[in-house]
Amino acid sequence: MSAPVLTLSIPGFAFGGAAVLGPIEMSVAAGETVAILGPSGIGKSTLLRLAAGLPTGAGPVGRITRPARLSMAFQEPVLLPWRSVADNIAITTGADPGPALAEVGLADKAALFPGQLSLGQRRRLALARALAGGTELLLLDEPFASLDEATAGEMTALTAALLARRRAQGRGIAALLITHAAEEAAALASRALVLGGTPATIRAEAAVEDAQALRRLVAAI
Amino acid sequence: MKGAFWPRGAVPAASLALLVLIWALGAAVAGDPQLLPGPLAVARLTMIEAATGDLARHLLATLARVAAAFTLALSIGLGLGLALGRRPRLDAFADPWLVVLLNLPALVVIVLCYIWIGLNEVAAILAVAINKIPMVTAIVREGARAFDPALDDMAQIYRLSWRARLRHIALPQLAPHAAAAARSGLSLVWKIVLVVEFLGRSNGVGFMIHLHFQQFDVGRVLVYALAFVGVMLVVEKLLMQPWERRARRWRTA
Repeated sequence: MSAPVLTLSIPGFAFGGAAVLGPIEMSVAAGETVAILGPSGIGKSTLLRLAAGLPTGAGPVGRITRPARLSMAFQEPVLLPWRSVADNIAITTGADPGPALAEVGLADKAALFPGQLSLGQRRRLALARALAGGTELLLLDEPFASLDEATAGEMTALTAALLARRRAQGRGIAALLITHAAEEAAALASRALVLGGTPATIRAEAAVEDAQALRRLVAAI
Repeated sequence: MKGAFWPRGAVPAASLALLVLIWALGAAVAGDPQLLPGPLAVARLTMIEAATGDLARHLLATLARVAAAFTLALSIGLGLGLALGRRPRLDAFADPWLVVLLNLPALVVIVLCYIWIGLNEVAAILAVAINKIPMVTAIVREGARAFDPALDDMAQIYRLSWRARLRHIALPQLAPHAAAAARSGLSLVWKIVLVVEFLGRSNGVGFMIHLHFQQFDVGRVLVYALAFVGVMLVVEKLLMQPWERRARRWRTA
């Protein structure tokens, strides 16, 4: 396996006097997609914010190494509604928006504003942005949670295809997926970590085989 | 749809015509052109003042002061409002100062500027700007407090420079508040400029109103006041409204 792109080693994390996370050690290698599963409110998003280096309301904790170029698909698309679809990619990543938009099927929407797109199209734009700038680490924070089942399925398949294409081209991206949907994890990840307990720790780690096996694993925690 | 039978602009035109009619009736009832000249008399005086070149000269002097003070107040107010809205500790410290400045009468600031700096252009423009800065700051601060934190996260993840954050994230979010501050600011600034000119300048609309007030020439007082209202309406129509339309383009697309 190639060297880890993200390593995270924290003794614990507390917020407002309450212990949210216990000791956690994990890493993600280039070309690998790791899913973090667990029920809502367990601390999955907090763990992702720590991995991303985003403000958590507390001081620095533990040892976290991450690459200089990382990107994130948030729970909501988080676009610049006052800039065009093309500018949303060019401004944030500095990349040529053309190929990035073509890859997600939005080539003909470049001149529109995000408000003129459907929710599914906005998600695709957010994904295109996350993959546009030659990112080394892609963080996915329940990115398809607010979509209907069909659109979520389409987005999951598209994300899997784009990550697979990069792996096939020898420029595999390390990806960390936060989700509570076993189907999403099964479709995207090669390895799954299950968070459980209070404060939350990694209770199980398994290679992803299928969604049913993952569901059984989560239910057993 | 209501008003669909009226041609565009008909309602404001009718409304203004009614105002002029009320003025004409008031002047006729007063029966004293020295006290309240009618619209036609004021129009005749306007032609005379325009023909001598005085009207344009004084309008331009006032317009230049309005532009300078407005630009200064808006730039400084935007910067301060953004800083206070984004930094709660700085806001807690500066808030009492802002309250004091918001409640300081315009006349006091003008008089103090003239005494401390002198009866010159710098004092005049600074006095107007100081009167307006606290209001712009307070309006923009509200906008900065309401920034979307998710966009901050996005900017951090994609390592946007401070310039890109300002241009593509902060200023577009502030645009509605900046527009409100600019709109209210423009009307306030020109009124304060008149007071500044009234008290300590030798040109401009305020100076001419002062001059004709001493001569009890109500007609010429109205000539200069109404001419400048006209100029400000043109500025509103040609500059402010197109700018607001451009800033709102993404909402209406």
